[in-house]
Amino acid sequence: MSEKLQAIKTAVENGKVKVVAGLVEEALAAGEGAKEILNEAMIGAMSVVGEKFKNNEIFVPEMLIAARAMKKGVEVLAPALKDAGSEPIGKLIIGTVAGDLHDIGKNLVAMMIEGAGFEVLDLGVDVPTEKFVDTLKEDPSIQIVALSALLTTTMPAMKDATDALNAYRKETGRKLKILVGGAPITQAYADEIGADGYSEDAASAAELAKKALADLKAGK
Amino acid sequence: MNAILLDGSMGLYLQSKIGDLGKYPELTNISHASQVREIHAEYAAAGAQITTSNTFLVSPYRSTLAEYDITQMLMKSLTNALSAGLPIALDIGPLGRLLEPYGELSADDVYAEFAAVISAGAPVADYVLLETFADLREIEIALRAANECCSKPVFVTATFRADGTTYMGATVEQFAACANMCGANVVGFNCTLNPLEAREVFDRFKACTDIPLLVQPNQIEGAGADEFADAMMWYVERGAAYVGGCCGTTPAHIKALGDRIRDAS
Repeated sequence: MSEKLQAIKTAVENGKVKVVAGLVEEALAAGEGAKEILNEAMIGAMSVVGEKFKNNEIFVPEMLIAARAMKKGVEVLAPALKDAGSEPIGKLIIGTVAGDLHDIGKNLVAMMIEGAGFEVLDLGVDVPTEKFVDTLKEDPSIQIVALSALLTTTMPAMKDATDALNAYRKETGRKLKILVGGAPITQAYADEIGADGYSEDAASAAELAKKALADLKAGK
Repeated sequence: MNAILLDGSMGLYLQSKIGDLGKYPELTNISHASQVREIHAEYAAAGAQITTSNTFLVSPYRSTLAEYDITQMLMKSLTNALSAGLPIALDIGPLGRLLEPYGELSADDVYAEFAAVISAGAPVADYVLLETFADLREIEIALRAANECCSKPVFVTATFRADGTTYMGATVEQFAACANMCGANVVGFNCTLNPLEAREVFDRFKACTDIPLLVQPNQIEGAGADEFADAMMWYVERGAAYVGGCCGTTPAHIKALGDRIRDAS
């Protein structure tokens, strides 16, 4: 990796929000490719961040700041990415289920999935079940739906949303993956309500989304 | 062994009685006051010695969203709690929003949220219970607000994973030091773990602080009240000063635990 790319990677990893944009501009001016900046430096950095998070070397604050640093870089990089014909690897919608107003975990998951190269549409908190289904109907390019619930008391709303998504999938035959997560959620609960995947933290969620995408492409 | 018994979960247990709690569960203090009182009474009958008010989520920020008057909401909830006839702990949870630089809230914003709830609610309560915290800075500000806005004893718990860190990176030792520095009267942990999973966390508390300890873990998934109570006795035998339950625990869990504490003493 070139020195310029390495500098961006290190800055994103360490959450240097203020310097990332400048470093990306420098790298572009020096002739580095937009796709390389995104994939090798930024997505590479977020993958390191995710790994450190899973190993308890860093925690939520450091991860949030790294994701924010990446966002700053992507803002500068966006026009060059468009010119280079760079496409996101997949499209995912995410939201906290009806009745639940928590967004810290959901935002973190959205950032990490974005950090893995996805286009993420965040529907926000307290998202009615119909909103998930309507958004899918409006946009046939969405491949994955991610549902979040923080409260044990809103787990039933997650089941409602999963039921509706499964019904929609059955009715239309659309290829789609439903992923769930949140503090009280377990793999057993995900299986019980008929979700396709569960992950226990935001770093694993990014890997889970990539796996779900690969499964979709493999026709699973 | 003379551990003092707190109550068990409110939210999940209330949900089992009335179904959907809605977007702002604190409104149940008004919309379902009789069921909330019934739960407080059930815990009292089960042997709880302190009633925890149904105010975990109450904050000025949420009062604006849900359009309720914060003082009226606190009075209503505390009146519900008072009906059980026990001393009351004014329950306060984390704000659910993050501090700068990883979030949007300034330290002053955070202080103002806690100060408003404590100033209005603590005069009617016997204790302040700050629970389920994860961010050391938020804990410190909440404790400062409790010190400056009331003279009631303050209990504070954080929620740890089995490795003794919160998801925000605070360790048991850092949290205990913070509670000590800020003059908390009781310190401990709640939620996330069940009593079979939290022993190491408890040992680490014991090794680093002399403040009386509060243990309020979740139910044991797939097990009943007796298994919970048996597992909780491990903490009672090792000197936990206050014990109770978090998510999934019910009056049956509290009754079973109370019976065992009585039998053991």
